[in-house]
Amino acid sequence: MTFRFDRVSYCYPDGTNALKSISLELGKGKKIALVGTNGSGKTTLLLQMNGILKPTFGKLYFEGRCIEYGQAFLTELRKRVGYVFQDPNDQLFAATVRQDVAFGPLNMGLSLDEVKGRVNEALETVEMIDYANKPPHFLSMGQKKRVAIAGVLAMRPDIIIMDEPTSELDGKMVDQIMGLLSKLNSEGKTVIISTHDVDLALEWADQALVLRSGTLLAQGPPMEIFDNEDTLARSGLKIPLRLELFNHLKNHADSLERPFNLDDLITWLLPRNNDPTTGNLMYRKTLLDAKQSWNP
Amino acid sequence: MDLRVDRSLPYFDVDKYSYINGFHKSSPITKLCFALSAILISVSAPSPPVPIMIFSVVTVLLLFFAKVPAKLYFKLMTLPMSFAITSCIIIALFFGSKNPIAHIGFQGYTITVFRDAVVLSTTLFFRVLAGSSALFFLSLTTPTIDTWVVLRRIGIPATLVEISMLVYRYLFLFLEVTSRMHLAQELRLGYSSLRRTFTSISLLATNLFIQTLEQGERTFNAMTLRGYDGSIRMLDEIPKPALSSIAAIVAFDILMAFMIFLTRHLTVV
Repeated sequence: MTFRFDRVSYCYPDGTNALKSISLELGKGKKIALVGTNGSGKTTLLLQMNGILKPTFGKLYFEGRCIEYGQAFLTELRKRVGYVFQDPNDQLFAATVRQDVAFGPLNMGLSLDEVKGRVNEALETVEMIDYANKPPHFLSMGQKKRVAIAGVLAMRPDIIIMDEPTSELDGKMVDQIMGLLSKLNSEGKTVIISTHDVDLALEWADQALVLRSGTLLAQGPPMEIFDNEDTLARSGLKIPLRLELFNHLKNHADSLERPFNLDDLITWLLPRNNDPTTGNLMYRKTLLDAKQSWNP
Repeated sequence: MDLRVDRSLPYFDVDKYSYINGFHKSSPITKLCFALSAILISVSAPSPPVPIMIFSVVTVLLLFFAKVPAKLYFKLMTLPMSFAITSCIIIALFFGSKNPIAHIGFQGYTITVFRDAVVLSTTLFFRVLAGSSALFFLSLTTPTIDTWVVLRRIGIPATLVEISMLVYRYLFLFLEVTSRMHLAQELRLGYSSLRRTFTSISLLATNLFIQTLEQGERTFNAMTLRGYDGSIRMLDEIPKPALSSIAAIVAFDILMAFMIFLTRHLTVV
């Protein structure tokens, strides 16, 4: 277990109750997705985990130890828990990519050779080594995100927290970043992300937490959570495409002759949507995708 | 993300060429030595010939060796030179006290032009010309970060260097934010009359001020999370200066000093 929240509440100085008595446990070495709509408290929750925000009420444990807010404890905590900001512009402050990635390791008091080695390794992991001497304002959003990740990787944390890793990225870039996060996870790191994309959470995570206006609606394996229509309705999130299709097929299956296979099902469904629009093409593609991934 | 920043602003080009110019592989120490000594010699020259020589050498180096576009270089030079020309005209007309050389009558008033004022103003003009070109040599050939590394090594206080580093980084970000807000206002007719223009500009300035404060807080948090403790440590890897280039700069400086001595009495009038 990495983090344990014991009835944690957080109230911003302006009076907003961003977190209301949250109790949860996060597994070690897992891919964890924190899912919720805008303003549901995702970022506030994540910022508790590195001591930037301190719970107004309740206790927070890291590996069984209650988090203390003194400098010594926080320094140790922050070496172990890396945090990648949603907007990489918040994080990239140095004049070149290399300087920025070196910032964390230099603060850890490592030797110069060690720092240089870590910087190169981190930049190679995110495939940004060719941009090492460029200033951040030369880079695209996807490149900035990758440099921000490298800046955290160079500190070699056990846990990586990433706030909205896919915001402002195109599809290909999303795949790359999520692939990178999976790779880091396979190397033994716990990866925690926040997102409002249920499809992404369903596909990527092995533990999901659903937040709604500062309260925890559900936690557990994503397949179980997102199958629960009640949870989804209350959270204000949309139903994952995959589950929507599955339910749709299930509802219409009675009129089919059993036993049936997915091929019959698709031929049965297709003529009912034969308008020659792109919508139909999308529908057809979704069905074909489903055929490949679903095996009754 | 598209930058809707006006890319014709010369700052972007200065920054761009500092990374891709013909001298980008030379040590910043060499370039800083050259630029600083050229500035020092130019401003201490008592007569125009040496500044003219320095200006020519720097211009040739910038245009033909660093391959900086002439258009950009001259565009940059117009700013300091327009100040210099105005000041030099005023000095030539209103200063001095010895050897009157001309009287200009203007609606009953007479302005007497003195020889020493003309000498001073021409010398000043060429000093500014050479000094500015040497300064632009530094900013067009040396990335800002390299200059700081050298400045830090020669003992400029770290705080000063850190502040300029953050200013440099966030200047580009806020230029981007400003031009985006400006565009958003313009698209909603914020600049359709003088009155609306004033309102829009004041709103933009207020908003930008708040955004800079918030950005500062977010950046501080992000830095804290990576172990910031009040001082920014930097990897200072810069190439060692080539001995041959340092020798060439010393030789050039000695030659210029000698030329100062030879041409010290040369004047235009």
